[in-house]
Amino acid sequence: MQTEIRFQELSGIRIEPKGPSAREAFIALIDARDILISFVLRDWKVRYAAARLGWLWAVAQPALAISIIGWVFGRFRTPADSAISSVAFLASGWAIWQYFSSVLIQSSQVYRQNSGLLRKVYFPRVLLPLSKVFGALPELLIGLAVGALLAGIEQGFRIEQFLSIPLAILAALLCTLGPALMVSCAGALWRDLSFGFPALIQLLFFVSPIAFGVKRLEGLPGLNFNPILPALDVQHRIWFGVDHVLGGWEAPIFGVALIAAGAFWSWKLGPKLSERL
Amino acid sequence: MSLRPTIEVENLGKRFPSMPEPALQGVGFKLEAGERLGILGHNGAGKSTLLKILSRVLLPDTGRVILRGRVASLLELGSGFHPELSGRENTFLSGTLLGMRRSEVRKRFEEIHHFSGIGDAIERPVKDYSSGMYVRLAFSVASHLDSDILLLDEVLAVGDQKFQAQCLNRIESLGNSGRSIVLVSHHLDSLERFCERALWMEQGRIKLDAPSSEVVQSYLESIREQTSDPEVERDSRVRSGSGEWRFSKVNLVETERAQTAVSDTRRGGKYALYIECNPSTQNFERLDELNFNINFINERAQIVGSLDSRRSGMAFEMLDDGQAGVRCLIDPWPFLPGAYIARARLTISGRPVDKLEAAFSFRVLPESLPSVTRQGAVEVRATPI
Repeated sequence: MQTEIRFQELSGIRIEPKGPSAREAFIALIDARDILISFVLRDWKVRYAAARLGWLWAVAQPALAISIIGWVFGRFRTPADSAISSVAFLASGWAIWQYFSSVLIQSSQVYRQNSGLLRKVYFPRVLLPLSKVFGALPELLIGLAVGALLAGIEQGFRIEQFLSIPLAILAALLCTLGPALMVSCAGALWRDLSFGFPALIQLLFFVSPIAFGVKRLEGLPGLNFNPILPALDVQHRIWFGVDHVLGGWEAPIFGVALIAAGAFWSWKLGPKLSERL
Repeated sequence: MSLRPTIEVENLGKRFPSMPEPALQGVGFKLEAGERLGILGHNGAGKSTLLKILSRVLLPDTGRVILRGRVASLLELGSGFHPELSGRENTFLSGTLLGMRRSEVRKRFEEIHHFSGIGDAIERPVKDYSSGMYVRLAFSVASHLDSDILLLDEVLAVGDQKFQAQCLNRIESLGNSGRSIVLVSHHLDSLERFCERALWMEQGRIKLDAPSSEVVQSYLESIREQTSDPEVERDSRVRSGSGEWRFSKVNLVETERAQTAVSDTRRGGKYALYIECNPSTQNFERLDELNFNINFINERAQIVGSLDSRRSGMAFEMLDDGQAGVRCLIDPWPFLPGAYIARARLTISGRPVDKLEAAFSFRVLPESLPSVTRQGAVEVRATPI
């Protein structure tokens, strides 16, 4: 049978103490794209395998959360935010926040949970956190669609809320990628992180414009270092207008820096993971 | 096909922080295209560490490796299998993890499924599989990798005898199709039969790099030397018991040359055991209560046969030199080709008085046998009635 020749086979694979060069690591990552697909498919198939309602939960979860939390947080809204219903505001950012928080919590444990595999099989290690980043995208899509639907029921349907879904997905993915790579490396090195990290994520929820309106958070110190803020700002700008954007130009630059730092750390730590775990 | 070696290893070194001694030091060798290399050595010799570095699971501390060609590494059967997924889904998952494209797995799926022999169970979650079905599917996926270099670690140590024979035949056919293969195994007979060249590793270094028959011979010789070393035998780790009586000789001899201990034997031959022992005090009163027992242990540390003096109707007798001894004939020699160690125990009324973990070792020379006869360690013969 004719076999596909991969990039690395042509020149030979070098194994040296310093690990692969950035170029070699990138080529290996491209070569291993099918493993990413397999990991993503595995996670999708396994996630709702034991649940009676199966994939219905992907619709029911955001619908229930937006309805209940939107009603509760509506009681704490400032007069400046009152032009937008609390349910509509929550519907705009809830799916993005759920995606961000669930990917980060899973990524913080992903290397430790796969330590057996890492000790026995070679593949670019960064595929594991990447599989969490890409694996949660279908739920993000469903969550955004449910959010647009609920917001439409609450305040009237607007076509741009549905058309902006691909942009929201891209923004959420870019804002989540860097932090996910960073916490996956940190979680591999420090086990304590897996205990403390969910609490940190909860804290971040209260300083992000998800349940509280933007007016309550204006002037908060370090707001531009909130990694999910650019994705929420994109969504709020399209849904509610420029008055509901919180972050400055520093926020997306910080996001890009996080992606670069996460990729660098993953490249350096990846080949040593089977020893560190 | 490239004229350069498919594997080049230079001055490889590796140290684990938790271990006082380096796992590998100064290891170097080359493997040509189509060559089959066996790696043997005691536990902790560095075999698996070397294979993990070749597989890119570990990085070396010193030296370098160059691999030319597509590498498939099989350090454990079923790596990556998820219990909730079906056999079909796990075939794709494991296949891609081991280095195949999903399109390749798709093309080869029927072949993999057929070779595994698990039938309709392929659509069921693997959590419902028996351990035999699980390893059959896992090996089937792994053995259909289309690679230039195949790295195998003790894959022959799982499953039943039939499955092991099936694995070996499959690996043999892969080897015959021009792949370079590196096989780590304690199964000396298979390693000698399958690999033309072998590395003997000891304490992280290559002790011998030579044709596999020579390496296996030297390796077994070293085991024999260790087992006959009085210093070793005095070591409490290999000798235990109350010490009222001690073995002074446990020899396997050929009946025609009765005085010479043998280490190479042939299946179906005639061999005798000469066993002598003496008491710690010159008190021979309990001689009639003395009993010996020998366990024959194969390369996979399984007891494959036992000999008990009392059950065989033998008793120790006083010898001219003041020791107690017993001689017995084993005819026919029942062991199949392979390497064995004999563990000897002396008891008085069932109470252990002396025990030698490795009283002697021997090899049964390889011979051409039908695959069915080759399975196991002991040949059972029957006569018509």
